[in-house]
Amino acid sequence: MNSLQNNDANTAAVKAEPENRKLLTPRDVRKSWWLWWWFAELTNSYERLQALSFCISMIPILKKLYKQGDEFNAALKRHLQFYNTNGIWGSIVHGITIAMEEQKAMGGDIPGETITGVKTGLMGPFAGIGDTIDWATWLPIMIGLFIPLAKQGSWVAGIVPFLLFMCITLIEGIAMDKLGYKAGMNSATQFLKSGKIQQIILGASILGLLMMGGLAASNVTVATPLVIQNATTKISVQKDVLDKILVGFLPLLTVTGVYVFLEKIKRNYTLAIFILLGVGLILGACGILK
Amino acid sequence: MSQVTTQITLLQAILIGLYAWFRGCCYGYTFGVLTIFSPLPAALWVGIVLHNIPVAMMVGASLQLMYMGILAPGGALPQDVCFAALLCCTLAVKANLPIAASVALAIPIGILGVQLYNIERFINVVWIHMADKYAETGNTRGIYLAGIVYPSLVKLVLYGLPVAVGLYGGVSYFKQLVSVIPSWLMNGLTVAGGMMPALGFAIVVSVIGRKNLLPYFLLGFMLVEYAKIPILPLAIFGAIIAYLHIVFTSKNNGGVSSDEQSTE
Repeated sequence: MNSLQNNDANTAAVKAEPENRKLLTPRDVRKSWWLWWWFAELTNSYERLQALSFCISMIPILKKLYKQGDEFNAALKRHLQFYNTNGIWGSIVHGITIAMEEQKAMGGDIPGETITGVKTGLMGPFAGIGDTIDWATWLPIMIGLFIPLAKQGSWVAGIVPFLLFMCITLIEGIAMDKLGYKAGMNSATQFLKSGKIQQIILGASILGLLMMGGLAASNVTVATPLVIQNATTKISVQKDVLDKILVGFLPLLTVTGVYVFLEKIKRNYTLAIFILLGVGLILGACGILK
Repeated sequence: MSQVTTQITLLQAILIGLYAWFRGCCYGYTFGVLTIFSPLPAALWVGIVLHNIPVAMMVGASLQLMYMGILAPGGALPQDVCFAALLCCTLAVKANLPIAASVALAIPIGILGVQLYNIERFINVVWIHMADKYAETGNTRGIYLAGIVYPSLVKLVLYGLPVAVGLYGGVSYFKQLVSVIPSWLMNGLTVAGGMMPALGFAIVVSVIGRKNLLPYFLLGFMLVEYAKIPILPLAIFGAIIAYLHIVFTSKNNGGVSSDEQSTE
């Protein structure tokens, strides 16, 4: 163990020598991850967000690593500090934390502050990646695929997209947790530096935008019943003017309007909802739109 | 169909309330948290409980379109999608609330519901302080209680009770209200209902946040408007286009495209 002591604490966690007897089995690590997955958002509070959930997931690990007493209690308290990340991609931080705690319990010179530092340092970047990929892109795409079924009143849309999403994210999460535990700190920094993750986000964004465009075309319905009457002919504004220029002109205008409002004027969803509702109500009641 | 009875039974109210409780607890990060963001599972549950899946799912679909981009894990939630879905779907099935009007009704309910979410996150501060105390003595049983059992029980009261009581007491009053909506207002609500999905898509586009990729949104729009491509083939086209974009941009200039400058 002495050989580890002069090293930087972070690399100490990484260079777990293979001949070292490991204190934890892969099953322990997996079990801890499931605890995290089940209760990640149950006690999300304004003060320390997911801290309590993280601590709960660590309890079985810490019980195995430390004897009851000061060291164990200190470890519990360590994991009750502020924590917040994406529960799936942030699992890599969970794995790294377990690896560091294991090293510490085996006598590695890792101060508790280092573990906390690594956790708080990494939780942000992975929250960003995870929220972008899973919540902001995969989920809308998955739901979007089933929107036509939902509109027909099919039960399938109420459960299948969500089971699919859950399965995909479970695989992602377990893999990230494993990666974090096995490869430690370095895995995270390499992961963040490699261009691969940027490419995944890029690809998901393109697919997401294309799908949203397609869904907007078939689901935003705005049309006008107005008719221009002159001496000899009747011109329908919708059929004879707008549709000749661009089919879907008014829906596209509506989406663009909301987008510009959010981007340029105010990123306030509630206000946007009320404005859109108001515009629709007034123009609809006056008979300008149908 | 089963629309003859307006009143919902106590058991039905409790079952729908239990869903609100589940949504409050978010068991399972990518299973429970979904119930915060998506009205479709809530619609299915209401449909099953009230024996009218088609109507509930249709209401769920129009709410889903409006709420497409509402995502806030760990952040500030603008609307409680689940609350809106549970109540609107029930009213649509039991009080003949028209789908267009349900979208408009969802907004105030959603804002009301989100207050409960804010209260919850204050209450949750209590549990972590409790856990702090238990950690001092290494009482892990105490931490499990404070972190799993107590919050689950409190949420039964915070989320389950208001929904169950509100539905059990309120549905029949609501039916009378729906019957007096004047036709001009109904027209307005229908138009607003058709426009609301624009919000969902605008939010998703804005959250994805890549201005240089916006033409892809337009491409998707045009493909469906003019070529009438169904949604699944569109997704396959999208995957191919995304792949090609990555391949072409990463070979052109030494592996770094304009989209990837941040990783340079």
